[in-house]
Amino acid sequence: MQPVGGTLAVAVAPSPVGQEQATRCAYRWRGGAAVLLVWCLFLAGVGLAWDIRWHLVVGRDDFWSPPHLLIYGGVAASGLVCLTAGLVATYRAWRDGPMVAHGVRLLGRVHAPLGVVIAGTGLAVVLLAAPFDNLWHELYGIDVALWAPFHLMGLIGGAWAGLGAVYLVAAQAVQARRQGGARPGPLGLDGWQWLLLFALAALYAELAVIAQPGAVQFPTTELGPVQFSTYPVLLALATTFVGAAAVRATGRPGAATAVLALYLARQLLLALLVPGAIRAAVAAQGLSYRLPDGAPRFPLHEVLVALALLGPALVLDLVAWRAADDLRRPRVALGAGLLAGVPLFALATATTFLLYRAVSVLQVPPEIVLPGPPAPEAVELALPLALAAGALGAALGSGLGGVLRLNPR
Amino acid sequence: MGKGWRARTCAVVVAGLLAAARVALAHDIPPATLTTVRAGPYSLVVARYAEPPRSGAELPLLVSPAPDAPVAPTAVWVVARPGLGTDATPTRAVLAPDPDAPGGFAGGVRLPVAGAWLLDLLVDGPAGPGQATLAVTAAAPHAMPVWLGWLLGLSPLAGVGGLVWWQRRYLRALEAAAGAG
Repeated sequence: MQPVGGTLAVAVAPSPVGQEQATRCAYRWRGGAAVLLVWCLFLAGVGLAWDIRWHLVVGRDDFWSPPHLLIYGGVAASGLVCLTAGLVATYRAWRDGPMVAHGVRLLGRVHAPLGVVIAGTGLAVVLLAAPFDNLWHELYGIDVALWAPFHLMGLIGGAWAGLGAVYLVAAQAVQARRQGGARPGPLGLDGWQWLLLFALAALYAELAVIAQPGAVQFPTTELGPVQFSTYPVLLALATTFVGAAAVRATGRPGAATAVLALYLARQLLLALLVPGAIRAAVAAQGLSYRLPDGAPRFPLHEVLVALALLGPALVLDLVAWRAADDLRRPRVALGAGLLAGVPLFALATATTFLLYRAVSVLQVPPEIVLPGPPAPEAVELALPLALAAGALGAALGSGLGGVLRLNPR
Repeated sequence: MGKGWRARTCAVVVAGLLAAARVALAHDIPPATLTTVRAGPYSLVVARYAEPPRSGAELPLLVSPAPDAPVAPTAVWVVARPGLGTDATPTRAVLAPDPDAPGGFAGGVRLPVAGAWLLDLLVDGPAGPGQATLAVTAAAPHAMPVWLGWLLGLSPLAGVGGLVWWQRRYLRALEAAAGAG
């Protein structure tokens, strides 16, 4: 193993006695950390979905609202997992000598798995955003959009943390292959690879939340005299990025569809859980809804959009399968992203217009002004931009998948 | 993929980020207050788009003829005079015809200091000149201006860019190691 470039590089020590045993031990505790991190971030994601609906139907009554408690509880638990993993890796590197399994070296003596470093950084960003977000709400009100500065800061941090979990799980999959412990299951993927797809689905959920205001609240982007629909571009970028990363990380056409199927299952679960959780918390705390008929309903539209996303994911998989390539070659990745951009454009555009035709399903209070659907010329311009975004997302996702496929740290 | 490809990718990403920021800042907000005033022969509706106006920031205004006004002005100026106890000098602005509001004039006047101000609306038109005065109070600026919020809020994207850059190099190293192995 060669040392890698950059400030996080670490050179591997000459084989110490019992290195193989130490590597197996590291594999076990790293596996525990990976499962815990994915679970804690999943809980934080449930809190986020709950919080977004809570803002809409109840308002922002208190920073310590039930969904906020779940979000920050999940974030704090994830932070503890990262801290513990870093301490264990540092102790083991001090005791056994530095090894690939101890991850990367930071600040000279501290060791941590690369995924833990990335996740910890993202979690720090989330925590840093929280007090600023509270101040922003106090200054500018409760109905600032999801695209407010410190909402986006927190969401970027959350996605970053989710990426860290993806790295940690992918490194486990690499170690499992090297140690011969990988047992292929459905789709030819072993357990760690399936957990990797689950973590990628969670990352996709975070990116989809970031993109979501582009559907109805900010449907048109204006760049001087140029206008285009926002949602198709963002949806194409996020979907092809995660889909291509899944295919290349596992080397299996079908992985993109599997990720989006896991995302669909997640959305279905949240759609079933969140309205009931809000009703229960509102009743328990004696709160009232913002609209007279404001009790949250089953968000069928969210489930249908998640279901329709299987189509573009299937396009990515079919291109990879036909080209007998895991989207490693840039031309194949770009072509797959370009092709997947077409159904993504159609899906995003239809979502915007259909939601405007049935806006009552969104349960938006009248204080939040919706600007109306994009003009025809904005929709037309969004088509080439969505295709370009699809190609760009697939290229970036292919690069990420390449690292995930090989990184053992 | 060479440097040119990377530069193009960066340009696309930056354009996307700018687009997102532009969209997020573009709010179609209704006026905060509407006041009907009489400026000589003209009956005018003054729409203020900030209540209270913030010192240091522009107060956006739209001056339109009242619905039942027999005559409309053809030019509108605003002079903001500091009120009693406000240590400042007057500021001026010429309002421009607003294409979205026929007969209306839009623009903004800056109130540089917190405290009491008097807005003199000076108008001219077919019925001759006229003047009206409105009293406003400029509040202290926000603890965090919007631009600083966006700068701080989107600052983690610089880290994302750095991570992408580093991971491209890391991927090459991993592929080289895998090839050698």
